[in-house]
Amino acid sequence: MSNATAAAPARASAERWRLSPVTLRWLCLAALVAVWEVAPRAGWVPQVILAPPSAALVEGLAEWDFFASALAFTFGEILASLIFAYGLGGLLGLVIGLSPFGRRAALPLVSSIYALPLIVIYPVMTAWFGIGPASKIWFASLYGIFPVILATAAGVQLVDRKLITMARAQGASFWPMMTEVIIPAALPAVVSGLRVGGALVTVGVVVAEMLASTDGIGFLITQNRTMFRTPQVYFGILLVLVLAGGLDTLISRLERRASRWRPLQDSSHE
Amino acid sequence: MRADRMVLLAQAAVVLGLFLAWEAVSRLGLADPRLLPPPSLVLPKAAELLGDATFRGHLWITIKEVALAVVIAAPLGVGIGLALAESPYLGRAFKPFFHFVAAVPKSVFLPVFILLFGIGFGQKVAFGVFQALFVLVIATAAAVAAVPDELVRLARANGATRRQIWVEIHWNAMLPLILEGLRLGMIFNIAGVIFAEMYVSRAGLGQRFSTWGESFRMPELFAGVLIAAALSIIVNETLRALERRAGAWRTG
Amino acid sequence: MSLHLAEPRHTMPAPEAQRPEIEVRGITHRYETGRGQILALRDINLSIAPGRFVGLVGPSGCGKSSLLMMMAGLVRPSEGQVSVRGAPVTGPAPERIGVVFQEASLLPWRTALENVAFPLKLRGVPRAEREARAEQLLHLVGLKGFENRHPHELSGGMKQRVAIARGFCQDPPVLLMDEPFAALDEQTRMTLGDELLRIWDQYRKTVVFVTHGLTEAVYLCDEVVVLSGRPGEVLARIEIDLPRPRTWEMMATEHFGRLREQIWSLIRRQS
Repeated sequence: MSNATAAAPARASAERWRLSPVTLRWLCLAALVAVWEVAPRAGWVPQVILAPPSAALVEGLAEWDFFASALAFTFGEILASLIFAYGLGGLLGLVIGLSPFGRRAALPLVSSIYALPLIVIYPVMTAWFGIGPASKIWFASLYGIFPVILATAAGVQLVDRKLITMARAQGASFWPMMTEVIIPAALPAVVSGLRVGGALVTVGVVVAEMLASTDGIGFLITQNRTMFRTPQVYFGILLVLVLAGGLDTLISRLERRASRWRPLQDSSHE
Repeated sequence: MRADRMVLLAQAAVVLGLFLAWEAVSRLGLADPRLLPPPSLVLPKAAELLGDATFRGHLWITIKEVALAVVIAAPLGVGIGLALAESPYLGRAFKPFFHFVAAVPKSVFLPVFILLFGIGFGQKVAFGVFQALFVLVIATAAAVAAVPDELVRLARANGATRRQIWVEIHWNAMLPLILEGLRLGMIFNIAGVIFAEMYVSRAGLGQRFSTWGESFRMPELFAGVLIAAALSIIVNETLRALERRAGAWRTG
Repeated sequence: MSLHLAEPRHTMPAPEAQRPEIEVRGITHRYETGRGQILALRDINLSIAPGRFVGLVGPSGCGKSSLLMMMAGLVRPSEGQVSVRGAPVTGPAPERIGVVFQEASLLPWRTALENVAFPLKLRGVPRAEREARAEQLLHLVGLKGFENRHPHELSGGMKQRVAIARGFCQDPPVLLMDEPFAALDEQTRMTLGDELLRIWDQYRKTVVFVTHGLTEAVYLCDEVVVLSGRPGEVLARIEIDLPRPRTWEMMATEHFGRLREQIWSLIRRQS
């Protein structure tokens, strides 16, 4: 990235101030949080629109019991949806990825569906399954399954043909071929699909709860919004972000383990 | 050639099969036809809706929201992306921030947009922009990084001006990747706007869906879902075709 | 199957006296491409005695690798049949036939040791036993101390050593090698050739060795089979009557040069 021609004015001024890019980033974020805190307190913005972060934390933690039980409820729905999305998605992806015809015929269809605004079928789900957890689990499973299918199929498809030939020459039958060659080779791609799918499942459950529900963190956000309890709305959103971030961290740790044999990450365990 | 036709045939068969299964399940009473109206009822309903001025009004509002959102998000996203990629300093400072926000589930921020912008047209547009912006920024920054250095060096060695280098090399190398970002942004934009309409709204496609779902007007709901799906498929496939044309050199 | 290393056989069996180990009869192969049918191999007949080291050379695209894959049971010929040890080859037969590929084809998520032990794992040999055996072979190919490395931590030459060790670990009477050194640099190729001969001398497997390198072919083999350009046919079988063990000084001899020249003139006329 030696780009002498693109000397932006920002860089020139930064050199004058001797600010490292990382410092600049954290300064900007700190300024953002500070403005967010000060603006509503100083009355520049009505507190009902923008609650200061400190108020969001204080008010939210004061009602922690409510939030905790809603969070647990939501977490249960997410877990159930993950089981469906991962299990079924992985299986379908494996089947599609293994057959050349399935790949060419089914993959474009799956990726087309993936591009649809799937949220539109949520009203169908509530009409069918009511506004309890069942409609959330159905919707979130469906919402999260497509990246899992696509990633698994792509992972299986990208398995080095030479390894398959080698294992065939060694007389590997179906199961050893799967467990020794195809699944380990596809695993890194599959896990990154699980990551995207996991994020979608989380959003799917929360969004569904926001639209129509009687419990869960999404419901709590919506309820607080209709009552104009703004700090609690922000606190709820924060909790969802923590939940999604936690799940993502968990899966990316899995991802690192799954690809420990690969050159890039490997220096860590030597 | 023959294999391609086979694939198309198989795809058509799968889609047709799904519709037939849907019809059969509904007709044979395997599912309650009040909850799953057969396509023979839904498809005429869709045509009826498209002929209905009130529904067209709702549809038009949604289209306007989505279009305005992309008109705002596209230049903004590409601009920020270019700035981040062309200035190593800004890139190092703010690229991680954009990557982070792009990975965050953005739909949960919808209540904030209601608090900030109310429940009208502007709020939908703002939410659409918010959904589309980040993927565009990242795609643009990635597109700049994908411009082959050796070609830029070659052009410079041949005395090309900066403008010529941009027109001849950057533009061609970047276009397919930016179009891909635009396509993903449009997917998020459409889904975001419809979701916002479903959540709280007085008009728009999403608002119709919510109302129909709550009042169990299933034929209308299914017809509306089919229309929304058809529209997004058209948008997606158009952008994908452009992307393929712009990137024809990539696979040779 | 015996898990002990086969007793080294130091006596060279007389080729004519025994039943052939590999028998290729009337192999013809065609395949379809976008532009029509291609005749790749025409009426190949070969018989190879046990314990022989046979090279397979020919111009690019003559189908020598395809022929090897047919011997391995990985590709089915349009016509004709391959028999190994008297039984026809209809599919992969790991107990009779081992294959070493051009790329080492190691499982990247397994260590060197586990890769060498892989054939035994597929046969259900207990872990301790198969790893003891694999360790022995890794030492034999000069990779002591590299047992727990993953393939990406090994050089190209080391990977190919692992692949060779895996071939010997599988311990089939016939080892088919498809340009195993083609991706390596000249020096590594020479060293590995010597190593291969040393190990082969201990186990005396029947080896069919496909190669582009004429020097390599003459240096390693008892006999070199020259195939013609497409469609591949057997042009000549040239006996390499250099004494064993082979040494690099032999390459400078007039006889070596003559053998090499003889093969080259056959191939050159083809292209």
